[in-house]
Amino acid sequence: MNTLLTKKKWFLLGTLLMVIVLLTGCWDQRLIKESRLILAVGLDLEPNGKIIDTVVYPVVNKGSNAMSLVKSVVVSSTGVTTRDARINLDKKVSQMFDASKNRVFLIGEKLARKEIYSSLDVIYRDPRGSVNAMVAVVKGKAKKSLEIQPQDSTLMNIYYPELLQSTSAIGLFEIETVQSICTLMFDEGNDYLLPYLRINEQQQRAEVIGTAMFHKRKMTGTLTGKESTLLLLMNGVKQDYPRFTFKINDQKEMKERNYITVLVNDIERKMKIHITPDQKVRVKLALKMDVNVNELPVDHLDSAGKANELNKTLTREITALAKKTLAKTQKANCDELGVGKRIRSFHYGDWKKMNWEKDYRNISIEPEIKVTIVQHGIIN
Amino acid sequence: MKNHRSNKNSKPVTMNADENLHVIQSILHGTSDLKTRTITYQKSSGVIIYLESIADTEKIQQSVIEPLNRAMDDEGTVETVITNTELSFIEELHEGVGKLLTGSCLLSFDGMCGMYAVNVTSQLTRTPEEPTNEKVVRGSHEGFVDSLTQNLGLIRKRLENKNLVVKQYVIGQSTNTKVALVYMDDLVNKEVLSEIFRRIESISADMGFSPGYLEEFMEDKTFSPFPQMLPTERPDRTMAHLLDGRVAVLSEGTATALILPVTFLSFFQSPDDFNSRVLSGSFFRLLRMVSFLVAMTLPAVYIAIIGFHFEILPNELILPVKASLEGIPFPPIIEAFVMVFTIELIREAGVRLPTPIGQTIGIVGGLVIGDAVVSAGFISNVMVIVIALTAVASFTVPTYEMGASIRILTFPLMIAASLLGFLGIVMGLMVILLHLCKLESIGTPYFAPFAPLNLSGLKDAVIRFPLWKMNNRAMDALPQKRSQRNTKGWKNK
Repeated sequence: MNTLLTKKKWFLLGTLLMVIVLLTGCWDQRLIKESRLILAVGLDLEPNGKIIDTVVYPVVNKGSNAMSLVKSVVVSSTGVTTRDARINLDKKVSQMFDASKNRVFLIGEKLARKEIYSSLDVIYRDPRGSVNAMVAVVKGKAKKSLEIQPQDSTLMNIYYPELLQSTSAIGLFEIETVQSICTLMFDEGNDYLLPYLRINEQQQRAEVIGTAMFHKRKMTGTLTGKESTLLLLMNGVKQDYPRFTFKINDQKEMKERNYITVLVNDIERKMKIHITPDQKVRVKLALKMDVNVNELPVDHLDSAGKANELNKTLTREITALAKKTLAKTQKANCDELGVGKRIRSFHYGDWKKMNWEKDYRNISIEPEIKVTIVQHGIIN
Repeated sequence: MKNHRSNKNSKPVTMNADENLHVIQSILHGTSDLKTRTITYQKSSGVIIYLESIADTEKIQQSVIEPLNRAMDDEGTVETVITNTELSFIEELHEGVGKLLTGSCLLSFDGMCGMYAVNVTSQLTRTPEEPTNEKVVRGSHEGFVDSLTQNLGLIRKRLENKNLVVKQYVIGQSTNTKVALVYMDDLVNKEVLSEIFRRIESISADMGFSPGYLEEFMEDKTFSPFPQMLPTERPDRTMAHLLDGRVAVLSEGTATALILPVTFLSFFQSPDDFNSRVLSGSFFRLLRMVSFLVAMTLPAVYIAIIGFHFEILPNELILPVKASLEGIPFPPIIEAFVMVFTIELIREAGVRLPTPIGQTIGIVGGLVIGDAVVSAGFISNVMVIVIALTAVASFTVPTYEMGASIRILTFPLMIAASLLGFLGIVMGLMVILLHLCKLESIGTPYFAPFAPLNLSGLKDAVIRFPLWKMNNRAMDALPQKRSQRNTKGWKNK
């Protein structure tokens, strides 16, 4: 009886195994060697409203001796939606596309100014969507940005992420991914910045020229590099090496001697929001910066007096820059500092009475900046 | 001792020495190595019968012939004259033949209703050498030899304890192999012991020549990939296991002792763990556990990644991997099978061949196959790395049996991975884990201390705690005494 049962069991097990092995048609295998790995994507808007999808994928040419050359190939196609464009692309390219390892999304300015969510929607729906790809805006056409051939790296998928990372380290922006901007696109009273690139065709390079301000789902303005850096600091985010160069006088004949470059070592930021009973908002933004003098050809910092004088000059310059930057964000309706979110969290009664879409432009933000030189390098 | 052929048609020894000799000769079918020498003692003529191949002629000379000659005319029985330590009087001829086969010589005199058997076995032994497949860096370099008595001696030498008990059995209807069970009477679990007795007594086989035979006859599950008894050639390892309340089975003619009952984790322990310092000992032990996982799952995980889930590869890794896979004509599972097969071939060829040729095979296999196969574009670079790593990892397991089991387990996992990706691996590992939890070694849990979970057991099994911290014996063999003495007397806690 016992042996009979075991025999039956073995038979069942064997049949099961055979069935699994023989049902090869059900495999959802997708081999890496049979996939076209999309590693960078550019999205543009055509004047007629169609989407141009440009993708970069690597092609490996196996030479002798197992040495292989990796080359990146750029193709583009148009469609009524991003996915439609991708389907059209698939018709042109051998093997299946796979976007799960995409590193960077470059969005043409035209499309960004219209709306970016619609183009990214397809990624959020795909379980294998590359939500950790970086997002950046390109001045002009994104397609062009993928067609250049920078000398730094022959592969676009290495060039752009590295470029964005290094630029982020000098404090221009925080790296935003498809995932991180998703909530910001729908969040009331909190907006975001994306890196803003310009293509230099002569040098065959891309250059980060600042940031693109976004409000909800569309781009509403731009900031220069210096402004972006300061805005980021005012937002309480200090990257590794935020640096500023300011003019401190204009009497020297040698022009370089008129400037100072400082590296921000440490910041302390406090934001206070006052709301009057009739919903007039005043934001006090206190920012203390400890800086390290990187470059000061004109003078030596050998006395406290000189340092204090420089502190004052720097404070004045930076305050002026801050005011200008904040005015720009208000004009673009980009609440990067998240003032609206704070009001919504802590003053919900007032928030309900306000219309942040309009009111943000009219609130007053007063930066109070204090710069202190704490280091001056290894010479005085 | 239970005995040698209890033939029902056994004949009694007759009064006539010549007749006895003829009967013995006919029982042994006139074998050529049966030698005789006539002798007279106190006027009665007799004959010394022995098997030249296993009896030591010098011993016969010294302990039988010389004393008998010296006492030729004295009064005195044979018992008082013969100086050998082992002398017995035999009345049955078949019993005499049994003695003859173990290396005794028989003395038969005319007019005596019986025979004397004197133990004159020649000691064909080799000196204890370090076991080649269980080397240690520090500590004892002594290993078991092929002689049972000497092996028992090696254990006794290490365990001068009145509670050490040796029980002998004879297994094999044709071979009459001596088998000894060794255990500590005050530690071993009596139920486990009686179960072992029961199993060993019930073995009925023609041949019982190696521990492999015994293992197969005694283990609970023969078709399990995991060995349920630990073979070792090290007396020190055997001793340590005896002190944990386990039983060692030794047999004549092999240098291997079988330890039982054992746990899964004892296959990953080496005497070196306790010869080296606490930190390095623990590190090496953990390394072996990791190598177990690597050896079992790495090829499967790699197949699953390149066939199903390559999005989990880090960005920096994806291009090199893709580049190496480009243009490979086989699907990953075939690629892996070819490589594993090749490595097993090289290993098997290397084991069977004499050392110098074995090395050549290694070089030819490693260089030619490894390098050529990649440059020819048949197998990808990464696959060669993965399989080589797996092979190396499987060899770090201190017990050869377990290493072999792991290598066998990689195959079903690879197939599962190629069918269902990570899901397949998870299912495969689940089956293995279930099996491990269910497995028993002579009624004790095989996967202890994980299942049943015993946290304090983990400190000896997984990592190696300082000796003075281990005041409790490993519980998996269910020993009689839980505590063991390990204190650092000079330091107050």
